[in-house]
Amino acid sequence: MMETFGNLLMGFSIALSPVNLLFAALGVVLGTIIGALPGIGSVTGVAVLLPITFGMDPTAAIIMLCGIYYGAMYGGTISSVLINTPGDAATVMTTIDGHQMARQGRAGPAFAVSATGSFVAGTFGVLMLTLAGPALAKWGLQFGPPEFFALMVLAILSLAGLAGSSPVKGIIMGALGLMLSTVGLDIVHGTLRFTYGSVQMMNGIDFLPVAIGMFGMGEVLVQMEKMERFDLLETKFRLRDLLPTAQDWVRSRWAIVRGTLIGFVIGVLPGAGATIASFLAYATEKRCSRHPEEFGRGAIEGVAGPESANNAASAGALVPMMTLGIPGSGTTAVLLGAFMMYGLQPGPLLFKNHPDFAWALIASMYIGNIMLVVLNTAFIPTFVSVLRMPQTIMMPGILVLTVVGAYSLSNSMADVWIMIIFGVIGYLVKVYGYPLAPLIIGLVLGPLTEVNLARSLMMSQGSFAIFMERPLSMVLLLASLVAIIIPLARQLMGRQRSHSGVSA
Amino acid sequence: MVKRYFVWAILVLFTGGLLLTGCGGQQATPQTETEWPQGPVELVVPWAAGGGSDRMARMINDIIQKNNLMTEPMMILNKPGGEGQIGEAYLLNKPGDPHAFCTVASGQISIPLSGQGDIKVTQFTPVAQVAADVELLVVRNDSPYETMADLVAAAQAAEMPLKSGGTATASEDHICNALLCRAAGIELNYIPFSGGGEVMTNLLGGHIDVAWANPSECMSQLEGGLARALAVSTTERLELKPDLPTFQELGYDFTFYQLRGIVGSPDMPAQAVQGMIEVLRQVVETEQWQKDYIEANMLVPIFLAGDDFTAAVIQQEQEFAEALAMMGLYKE
Repeated sequence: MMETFGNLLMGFSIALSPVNLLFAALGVVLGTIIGALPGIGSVTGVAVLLPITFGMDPTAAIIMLCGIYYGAMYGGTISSVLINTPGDAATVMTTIDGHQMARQGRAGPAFAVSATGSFVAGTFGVLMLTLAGPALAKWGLQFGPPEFFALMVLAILSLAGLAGSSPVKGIIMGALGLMLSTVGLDIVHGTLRFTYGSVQMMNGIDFLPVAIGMFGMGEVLVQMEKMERFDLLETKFRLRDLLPTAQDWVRSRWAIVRGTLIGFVIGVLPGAGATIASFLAYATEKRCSRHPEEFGRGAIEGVAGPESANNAASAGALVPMMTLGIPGSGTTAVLLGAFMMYGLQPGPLLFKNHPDFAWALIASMYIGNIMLVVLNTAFIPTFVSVLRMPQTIMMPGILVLTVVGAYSLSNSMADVWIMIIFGVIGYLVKVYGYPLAPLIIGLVLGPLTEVNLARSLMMSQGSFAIFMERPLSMVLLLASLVAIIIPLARQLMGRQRSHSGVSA
Repeated sequence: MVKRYFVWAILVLFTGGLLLTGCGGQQATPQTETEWPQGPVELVVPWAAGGGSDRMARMINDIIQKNNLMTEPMMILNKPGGEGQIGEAYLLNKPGDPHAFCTVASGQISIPLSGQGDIKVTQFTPVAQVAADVELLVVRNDSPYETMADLVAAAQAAEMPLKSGGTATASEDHICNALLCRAAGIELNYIPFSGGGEVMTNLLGGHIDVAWANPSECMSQLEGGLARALAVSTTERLELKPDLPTFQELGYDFTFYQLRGIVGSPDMPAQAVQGMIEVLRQVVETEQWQKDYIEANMLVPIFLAGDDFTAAVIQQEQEFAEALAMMGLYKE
């Protein structure tokens, strides 16, 4: 314990040097911008900026690259809330309630709560990395294909409750998402499905262009229809409206705590990542909330939970990378490459061979999170003022951003076409009152569920008993059973009560 | 008020349009029989940023810049997806372009052979192979298998086949797995994962018994004492790992190399091919390449240009086709 503290102090003494402070600041600012731009996420951001750091001092370079990584998690909120277009894969859930808050003139509180939640989550994640990194990483290793399959089943079943007003419409959209997720190359068997000879379709339908299209472009189309005269979005801009009310804080307090815990645990698991963490946090908040009917209409918990979760998860993903040398997410894989380019071998030896570097990096993350919360709070009035822009300028601007964002995902026009097609679908879906989120969720969770089921059955040579023989997967599957039984039982009991009420 | 916004909108569109056409104009480089390159050189990486091919491309670019090896800038363009086929399709649509290149890794040779796409590496103009990657068979540090002989004996005695892991189906890892099984007369239950990181996670977590990995994918774990390598797929022992036996010397008669190189657009002018070969030859002779790329990733240094490279690709294609046919995965 004392040793850890001493090491951390040494880390701070290095991280607080002017050069390292400068690069930490540069990293978090770039990260915020990269996160805010739709499409360009932290993976692309870090990969593109990596070569620029060649020849720099390794510590400063990695501090900057990590700053971009967790900075992007803060920045993703900005475009989700302001223009209804997820800035990063992990902020799709924030879009649902965040943008509704902005439409009600409450973008300020959404940003403030999200910045606070991100700070709490990010700092908690780094704290856990400092105190218990290796033990946590070993725990995460227990998750093999059967455990992941069980976790996905639990996620799908708890997210089924997100369907909104009509369960049937929700199930239709969820099933559509699962079906779309089967397109492309099946990596388990190496066969092509529904590609119709097109090379572009081998990739399958990535969920990010779909999300950008359905949320961003779909919203633009819906708004254009309503636009009869050239008017401003009716939002209030008094200073008081920029700050969350006492009630906002009370409502988001526990959402931040729950989001942080869920996010960190999911983040430590290799291969799950911030996107799934944000899904689970949103589902949890809807279940725990006293006002579940407000979700989708601007519930502040719906912003606080997922935003805390994605930051905690991004810190959590650094645990297996730094202690075992295994990347837990796309961005940590790129960061791992960056470490190796500088001759720093992440893993068990990192803390032994390069303690000054490792602890400076950890210390810089505490500092970076403080910088980010200041940055993201101080600029709230600036972010919100984007909403002052007349719709006639803003809507075409959003369209441009969605197209550029979709293209930048993998420099491919195919993603732009997918985005546009789903933009039109998003418009129709909104007009007819179907929920958007289940389709996105199906698209993300479908492949992970399928691939882990296939791997589990390959491991057991076809026996389903593997899911019950392993304690973790059994617990998760039992939890999913509970997740369906409780709402059903509640409904049944509610019906009986109303029946007896009628007969009495 | 309203009119002013219109004016602004038109201005924005106008400048945007200008920028776009400006960019378009640059691409039309006149083809003359003078010096190569005449414009920016484009190197397509048909894999995601941060992967093995991406690291190679960015290292080459860095060395070119630092040593002024080319008069024009090189641009690296990641076109990931479809197991390399999407980036290749992009290059296929630029026949004769003297400035368009693409990185090649062995996976791009094996993928079309198993029916996962139509584009073959042989459809492009070969430029050069710059390195060879090798396969290691890795176990957990606390694994009961100390040597290959232990593993083979256990595999023969096992009721349920031992589980091995690697990246994807019909990949280099999978082919290598099949070659070992045939050479040792054993059966291994191969589980395909999505990437090298996932393979190592499942090995360390005890979900699989052995794993196939390139040195760069498992070095952290080997050096950190979390995992051990049992053997390597080369003909001679690795310089950096002199204690690690090869499969061949242990009596399992097979070798396996993955090539890493660069190809050009179909029917690329000979002058451009020669120009790029010269640049790459200078790149692989630098100290930075040897130290930060070859040694850092524990690769085998090799440089094959032009026809020699073509022969290497064709030979590998034949070997892969044979192995995949044995595995029942070969598709015409």
